[in-house]
Amino acid sequence: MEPYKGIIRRFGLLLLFPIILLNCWKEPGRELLLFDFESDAELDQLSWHCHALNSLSAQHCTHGSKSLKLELYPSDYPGLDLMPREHDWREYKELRFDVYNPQVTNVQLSVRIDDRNDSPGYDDRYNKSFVLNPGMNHMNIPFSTLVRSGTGKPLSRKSICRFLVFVVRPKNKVDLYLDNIRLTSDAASDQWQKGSNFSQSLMFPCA
Amino acid sequence: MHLKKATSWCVVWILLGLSLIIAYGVCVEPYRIEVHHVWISDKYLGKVLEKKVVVQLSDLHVSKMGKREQTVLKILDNLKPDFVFLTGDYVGWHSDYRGALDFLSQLKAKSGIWAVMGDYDYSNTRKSCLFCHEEGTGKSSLRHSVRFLRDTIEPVSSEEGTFWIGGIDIERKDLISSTGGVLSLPGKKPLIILSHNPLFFDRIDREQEVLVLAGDTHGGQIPMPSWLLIALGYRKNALYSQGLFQTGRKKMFVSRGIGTSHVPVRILRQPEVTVLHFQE
Repeated sequence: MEPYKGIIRRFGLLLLFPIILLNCWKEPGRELLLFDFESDAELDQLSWHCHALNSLSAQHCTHGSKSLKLELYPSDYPGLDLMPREHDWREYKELRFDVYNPQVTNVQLSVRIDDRNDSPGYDDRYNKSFVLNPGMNHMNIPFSTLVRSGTGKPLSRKSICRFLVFVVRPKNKVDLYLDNIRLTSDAASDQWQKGSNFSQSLMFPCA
Repeated sequence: MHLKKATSWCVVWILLGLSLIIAYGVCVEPYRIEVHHVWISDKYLGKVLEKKVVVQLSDLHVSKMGKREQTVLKILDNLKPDFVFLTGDYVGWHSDYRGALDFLSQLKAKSGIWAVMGDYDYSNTRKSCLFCHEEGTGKSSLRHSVRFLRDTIEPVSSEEGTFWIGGIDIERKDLISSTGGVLSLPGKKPLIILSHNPLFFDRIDREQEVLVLAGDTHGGQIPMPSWLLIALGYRKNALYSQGLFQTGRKKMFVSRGIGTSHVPVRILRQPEVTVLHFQE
């Protein structure tokens, strides 16, 4: 028996290693990048509206080497109107995007999400306002909050067709830098929560 | 045997006839631009615009500055218009905008040119900005003197008085469907509204004193019965294919336009430069 003790011990250690590895293993969070604003061709895919000028910028990007610079001029609702290529958001838990506010004051950013393409009324779509602090802001919309304004009923995450970010009646021109619009699953959210501690350090030009 | 031979000759003649009609529709009629004079009785507009040369152009669908565009400019040179009103669709679907911008830059009118955009002009929303702005900037375009109206209304003054000109933007369907919109403003008389889509006419109260100038239909491009147009989803063509319409106090003129879309053919639907004559 004595000569086998060493073998058993070594075999046990070998078994222990994959068990420890398996315990540490956690499914990596899935992430789907909706808009990255890296090429001029992407600008062609945006729905352009009056009083909002879109251009690529090498500043304040959080993914890749470019961000989208939004120049919003005084008008009713200047902003960005996006049609996501992925309409089925059911496999994800959150919508995330990064906005850099170069102004010295806060900016109120409104978000609208439609699950129908016939321009649903205010009560029948997701509407929410967020305060953007000066500097980098990591926006996070958990899908548990993705409800219709009027009824509180959840949006159909199978058929998301429009996503808008805009400013309501700005008195002066507002500049914003938008980047890395993505859908994430739960696990990715955990990673993001850790990463959010470094949010201010992400304010750098990408060039 | 004799009958068979006659039948085959008949088929040959029918095919030959159809080929000639199609050849005419593709090669001849789209380039035979009619100067269409339209008389409109309106005591308010008549007072201000009776002595003026007012021209409407619509649905140019310019791909490049070609024969048709040169002909239109030549006609305008002869007419020497005081006012030119443009009712949308200057480009082809997702096509290059340079031809249309070249055309607009050569338009001249003594008292001004006003315009609205059509659905084709928004087929590339990024390029649609070029109608009003210098590329990549928010600055107003210096390429042409056309004033684009996007859900706005403004007064126009001349020696004879003031009239109001408004423009309905095809992009803002919500505004068209709202009750009132730009038309709810009181005291805007006389009033001309430019709208690419003629169905906007249905949104206006029948007691509103207004002249709507519209396009979009191309007169159907070829004659077709209303039931077929409705079956094909072209309600606007079935209701307001071309010409002058009046319901209550509101009036509308729908131009057949200049260019073509979908199929480059026109049969019995000549392209037109419309000259509007107002009388009290």
